[in-house]
Formats: sequence, structure tokens, C-alpha cells
Amino acid sequence: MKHFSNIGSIRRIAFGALVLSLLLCGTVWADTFQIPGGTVTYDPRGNFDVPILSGGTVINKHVDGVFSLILCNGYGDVYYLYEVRERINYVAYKGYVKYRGFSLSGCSTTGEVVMLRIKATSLMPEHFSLISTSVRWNNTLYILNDVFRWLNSTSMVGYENWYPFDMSCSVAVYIVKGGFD
Amino acid sequence: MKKPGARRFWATLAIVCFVPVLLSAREAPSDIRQPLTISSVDRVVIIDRLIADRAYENIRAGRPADHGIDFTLLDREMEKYRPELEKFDPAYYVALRDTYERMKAYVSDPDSDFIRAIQNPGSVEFEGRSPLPAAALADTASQAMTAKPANEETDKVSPVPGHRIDELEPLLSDKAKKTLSNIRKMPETPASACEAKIRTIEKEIAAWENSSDRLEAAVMLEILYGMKESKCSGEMKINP
Repeated sequence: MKHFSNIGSIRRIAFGALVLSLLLCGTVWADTFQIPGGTVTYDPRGNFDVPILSGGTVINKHVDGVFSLILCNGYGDVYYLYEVRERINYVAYKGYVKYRGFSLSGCSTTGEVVMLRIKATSLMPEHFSLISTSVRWNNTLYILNDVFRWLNSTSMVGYENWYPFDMSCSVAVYIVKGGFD
Repeated sequence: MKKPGARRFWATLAIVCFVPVLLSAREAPSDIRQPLTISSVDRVVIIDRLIADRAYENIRAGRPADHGIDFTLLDREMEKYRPELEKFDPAYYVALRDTYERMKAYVSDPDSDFIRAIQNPGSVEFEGRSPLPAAALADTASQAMTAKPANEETDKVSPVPGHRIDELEPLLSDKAKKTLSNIRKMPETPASACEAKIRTIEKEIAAWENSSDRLEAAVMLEILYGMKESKCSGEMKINP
């Protein structure tokens, strides 16, 4: 009887510990991603508004969907992408971005994204060109262009250039969810 | 029969709950004292972010920004990984080095914009990629600066409900901050003095309309008109 009771206690303890660890780690499983030097929190479905400039008017589109590829960079910006086209020499992705790592007064912290994965050729290794937008003062479209390629099996690195704002910097990019064929 | 088991259960639960807390409390100070090191190429490529994070922690804890950051050591690490980075792309090393040197200058100068921006949030506006770590950026407030209800025309921008102007203030330009300060100082009585002040501020804001400050102007006018209806009758909508 005593032996039976001990087993019951052990089971309860194990169950309690499991529940507690689930509670403690729940958010990590749900939507955080570890990059070297920090943690990026994101919602896999997006759940943010993106200002879209069209014909001089801004409309806000709510992003809430399933994305096949989610990337983030060392600044904590998260790119939500889905594949739209595959050709012999490139694969095109479209989607949205939620910026965390820049400040330019009046600039939206979300935007639209188009990314090309340019496949390896004899002249160039596989590389990526990503164009993302930010609407400033609700009337001007700012463009950020990130060009990067694989540094090793986990990190991609490259440069970022802005237009019309004059800025360049180095950038590291990581896969949060999904991958490349 | 059940009591010893129940006691053991609660004791274990307490241990499971408190041990991580105790461990983290013990680890935190020693982590901070560790000098910043770059142990892999993965970390070298975000060296400026790692410096920014550490400097931010230091400033928030009242220590010098460069506490625990040995730039001689980091320079050596950069050089160590230089061949690997240049093999990847010679130009990339140059871009990374520039980004690193910018960050180094920010952290080494006690009067730098970087340090002032952390000590006094909103006092400095960085253009483009902010040197501040992500933790220091007010994400929701930035979002609110440009967000507006769907399908609303550009010129009719209004602050997003649920975001107080106090949250947005760090993002305003100096000009807008000054106007906001004037709005806050507006006399409540007599009503004529209040009205006169409103007209003065209105003219001041109207003068911005042809510049690139349209959004801020719209936000300020919104606040001012809100004030017209409330503050002069004694209600406060903005924290003084």
C-alpha cells in the first residue's frame, strides 16, 4: 500500500513538474526565436497592420495568415514570406515585414516585402535580394534593399541600403520558420 | 498515508518553482561582469548589436556604457575572423568594420547620441538604422506614429485610439514637442485666455502644413481641438 502511494506521489510530482515546465516554456515554443546575442519575439501569423501606399492614398491592411518562410535579421526585424513563383534561376517570395530595429521619424514600422532567391550559377553563389518598404509621413515610400547570402549553415550575411534615405549597413539574416528546397 | 506524499508534492513543486528563480538571481550579476567576447563568426557578423545590447544594460544599471567591453579584445577577434569574412566577400568585411567602428565610437564617448538616447529616451532622433538595441526601441509607439484607420484619407490622419500622446512624445520632433509643451501649459481660466492661446497655437501649427511635418501637424491639431472642447471647461486630457 505504501509502495503504491509512493508511486502515486511520484506521478503527481512528475505531472506537476511537466505542467509547470510547460507554463514556463510555453511562450518560447509559441513565438520566440533565438538569434546570436538575443531573442526575437514574433507572431507566426503576423497580426499587424501594414500601410500600403496606392495612388497617393494609404490604406492599412491587416496581416494575419500562414507563411511558408519567416526570416529575421540581427536588428530583430521579422519578414513573413510565401513563395509566389519558381523558375530555373530564381524563386520569388512576397510578404510583409515588421521592423524593430530602425528609427526614422514618421516611418511605418511595418511594410511589404518581395524577395528573390537567386540560384547559384558558375559565376555567383546562391544569394538573396530582398526589397522591403516603409511608408513615411503617410505619403512617401521608403525602400530598403537587403542583399545577402549564406555564411554558414545557420547564418546569412550581407548589406542593407536605403532609398531615398541615404544609409548602408551590414546585416545578418536567419531562418525562423520554413526553409529553402 | 496520503499526507507524506502530499507534503513531498508541495515541497517538490516549491523547489521546481523557486530553484530557477534563485539560479537566475545568482547568474545575473556574474553574467554582467563577464567581458563581452566574440566566440564565433555568427557573433562577429552582429558585433555592433552585441555591443549595443551590453552598453544598454550597462547604462540602465548606472555603469559606464563600455563597462565589460574590451575593444582591444574585440578588435583582435575581428581580425581573427577577417580572412573568413573576406573569403565570403571582401566588401562585407569593410561594411561590417564600418558598422562596428560607428558603434565603438558611440559607446566610447560618454556624450554620444547613443548614450544620451538611452539616458533620456526620445531626446535624440536617429536617422535610419538606429544604433540602439531592440530593447530600447519603443515598437508600439513607433507603430502608432503612422498607423491610422483603414481607408482613411492621408490628410485626415489621427492618433490611434489607445495610444496616449505621452507614449508618442519621444518620437516627436523638437518643434512638435515645444508645441505640445505649450498646449500643456495652456491656461484653464479665463475661457477667453484659453481661446486666445488655442488660436495662437493653431496658427503656429498651421504654418507647418506645407512642409514634411504634416503628420505631426495633424496629431497636434487633433490634440489642440480635443483641448478646445475639454481643457477650457476644466477637464484634463493630457498629463501635465
